[in-house]
Amino acid sequence: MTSPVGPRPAGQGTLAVLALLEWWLPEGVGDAIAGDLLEEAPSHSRWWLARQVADAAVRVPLARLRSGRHAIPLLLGALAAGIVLVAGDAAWHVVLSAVPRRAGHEAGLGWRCAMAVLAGGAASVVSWGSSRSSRRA
Amino acid sequence: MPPAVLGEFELLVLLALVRLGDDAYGMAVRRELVDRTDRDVSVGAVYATLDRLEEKGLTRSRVHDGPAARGGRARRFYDITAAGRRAVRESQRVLARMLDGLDLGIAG
Repeated sequence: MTSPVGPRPAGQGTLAVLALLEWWLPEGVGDAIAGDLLEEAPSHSRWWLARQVADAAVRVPLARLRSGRHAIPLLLGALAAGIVLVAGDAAWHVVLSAVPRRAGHEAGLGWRCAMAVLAGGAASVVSWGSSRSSRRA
Repeated sequence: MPPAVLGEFELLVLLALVRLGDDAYGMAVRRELVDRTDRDVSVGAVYATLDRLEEKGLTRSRVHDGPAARGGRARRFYDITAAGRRAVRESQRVLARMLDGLDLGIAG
């Protein structure tokens, strides 16, 4: 979708998001995609740019995983996510047992699942990101 | 070694590389695909495919300085290799053999 108001310079937010994307993606691909998107950004809407960034951030690592490359950092991420899930669930039980019970005080399954997904996702992101940083170093 | 088996999108990307010649970088490939196939193609899909094709030895890439609008980031240009050309030819041959003599029952 082309912006109806014509080309505009990329803002600080766009620059920051593209720098983050460049860091996140594998070396050689990340800088090329970030450069292409920065070049194209003035001619497109923010929504178009956001969709391109989100798509690349997920698709490129998954493609590498499917081809067998970068499997180890992602497996380590999954392992770390599992450990965080178990530890987080145990900690949640401790918190619940430490406070006086009242009717309806028990956390709902949806809330606990949301916390677990957040914790697992954070662990995977940290694992993948640190593997990216160590490869660049 | 037999030619690599190509997926449909891989074939389209390789054909775009042939069309673009020396100007084949990711966003140019995306534009070529959007213009010629009328599909909404993401730059992530293009680069993921180019990355996979390079891993298979069907493309190779080189880096050149880009314009200032890229914030100092280089452009990565892609070429189709001889193995890539053989894979395209093989896909074309297989498709022709599969279509040979078929009546798809569609007018026009």
